[in-house]
Amino acid sequence: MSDMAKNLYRNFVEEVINKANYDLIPEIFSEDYLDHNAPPGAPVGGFDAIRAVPIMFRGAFPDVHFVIEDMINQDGWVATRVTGKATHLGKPFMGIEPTGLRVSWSSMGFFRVANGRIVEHHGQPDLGALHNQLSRNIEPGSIDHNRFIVSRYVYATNIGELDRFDEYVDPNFVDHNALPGQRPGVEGLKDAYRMFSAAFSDLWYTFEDLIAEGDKVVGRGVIQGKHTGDFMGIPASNKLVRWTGTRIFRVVNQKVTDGWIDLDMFGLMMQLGAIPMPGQA
Amino acid sequence: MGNHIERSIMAEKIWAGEIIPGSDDSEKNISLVKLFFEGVWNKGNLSQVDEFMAQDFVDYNRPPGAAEGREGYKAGVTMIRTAFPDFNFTLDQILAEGDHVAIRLTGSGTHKGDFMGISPTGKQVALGSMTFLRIKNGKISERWGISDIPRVIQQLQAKG
Repeated sequence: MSDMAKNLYRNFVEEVINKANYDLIPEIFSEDYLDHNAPPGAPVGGFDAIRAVPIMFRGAFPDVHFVIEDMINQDGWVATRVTGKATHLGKPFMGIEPTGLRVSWSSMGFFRVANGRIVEHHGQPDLGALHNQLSRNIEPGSIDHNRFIVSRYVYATNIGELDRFDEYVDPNFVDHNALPGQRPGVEGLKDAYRMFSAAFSDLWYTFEDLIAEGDKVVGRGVIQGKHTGDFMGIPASNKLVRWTGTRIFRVVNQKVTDGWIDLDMFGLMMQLGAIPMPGQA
Repeated sequence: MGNHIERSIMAEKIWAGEIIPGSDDSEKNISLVKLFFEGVWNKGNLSQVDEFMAQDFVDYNRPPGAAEGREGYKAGVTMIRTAFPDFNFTLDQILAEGDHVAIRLTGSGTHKGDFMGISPTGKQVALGSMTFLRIKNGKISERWGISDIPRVIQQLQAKG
C-alpha cells in the first residue's frame, strides 16, 4: 500500500511533470480528483485540474524539472517535498515577463490515494521564493542580463509587439541569415517576422535551451504555428506545424547587434506537403 | 554528510537485527509536534524552542536574513507573534513515517503590529503552511517549511 502511493506520486513527477506525458494522467489520478489549492482561475477538479498546473509551469519554464526530496506515507496519504528547477524562457509568470533566469524553489503537497488512484491534493508551492528570484536585480552587462535581453526580445516577437524591438535590438542589427532582399538593420528584421506571422497564425518560438558566454547567447528551440496564409508560394493548409530553430545572438551594450538563425526549413516544407515525406512517392 | 553516515549506521543496525524496521516512533513524534506547536506558536512560549529542538537544529527554509538554528527560529516566531499577537496554528493534518513528520497547518491572527513594513490594519488573516520535520533522539533536528506569506500580504493590502 505505502509503496503504491509513493509510486503513483513518483510517476506523476517523472512522467507528467518532467516529461509532459499528459496521457498517463488517467493511470495516476481518479477522474473525481479534487485540488484544494488550485491556482486562481484554474479548474479545481478532474483531469483538467491536473493538467493545468504542469502546463502553466511548462509554458513559463519550458525545461521545468522536479526532484523528489522526501515522501512520507501514512493511512492512504502521502506528503511530498520536491525541488523545482527551471529557466524562465517562456510565458510570463506571476505577472513577470520572461527573464531568462534559472530558478529553484520548493514545493510541498499532501495527496490522498484510494482504489489505486490519487483522489485529492493540498499543495503549497513556495511562490514567494520564486517571485523573489524572478524579480531580482540583474546587473546590466552580465551574462544573465544578456540572456534577459534575448528572452525579452524573442517574447516581443511571440506576442507580435515588434515596436518593442527598439528596446532590445540595435538599430544597425546585422542579420547573418537575411532573407533575399531583406532591408538592412532592425527594420529588415521586422519585415522577416512579418513574413512569417502573415503565413502562420499564433506563431510562437519556445526556447528549450539558452546558453550564454561572453557576448554571445545561443538558443535551441521549437517554433509552432498554424499555416493560415500564403508561405513562399504555398497556399494556406490550416495545418498546425512545428519545426526547430537554433539561433545565436550577439549582445553589445544591452542590445542585440547580430543574429544567426538555422531553421529546419526542410522539416517545415515536408509538413506543409511541399516536399514529399521520405518513403512516400 | 553527517546524515549520510548516520543513515548507513542505521542500515547496518537494521541488518544486524538491532533495530526492527517499522517499529518507528511515529506516534511519539506526532505527540511531540502537537505539543511543540501548541506551546511555542499558540502560547508564545519561546523557552520551549530549546526544549523541543536539538542544539544543532537546521532550518533549510529560513526567511532571508534570519539567523541559523534555534535562534533564527525564535526570531521567526517573535516576528509573527508581534504582528499578530493572537496568532494560532491549527494542525489540519499530520503524517509520520520513520523519523520524519509532515504537517499541514493553517495559521490565523489579527494584524495588530508591523508586518514586513505594513502598519497594523486590524485585519484577520489566514496563513496556509506546510512543514516537514526530522526528529532525532526525541528532538526536532531538521526543518523544511513553506508558508504562503505572499497571500498574507495580499490579504493585508486588499481594500476594505
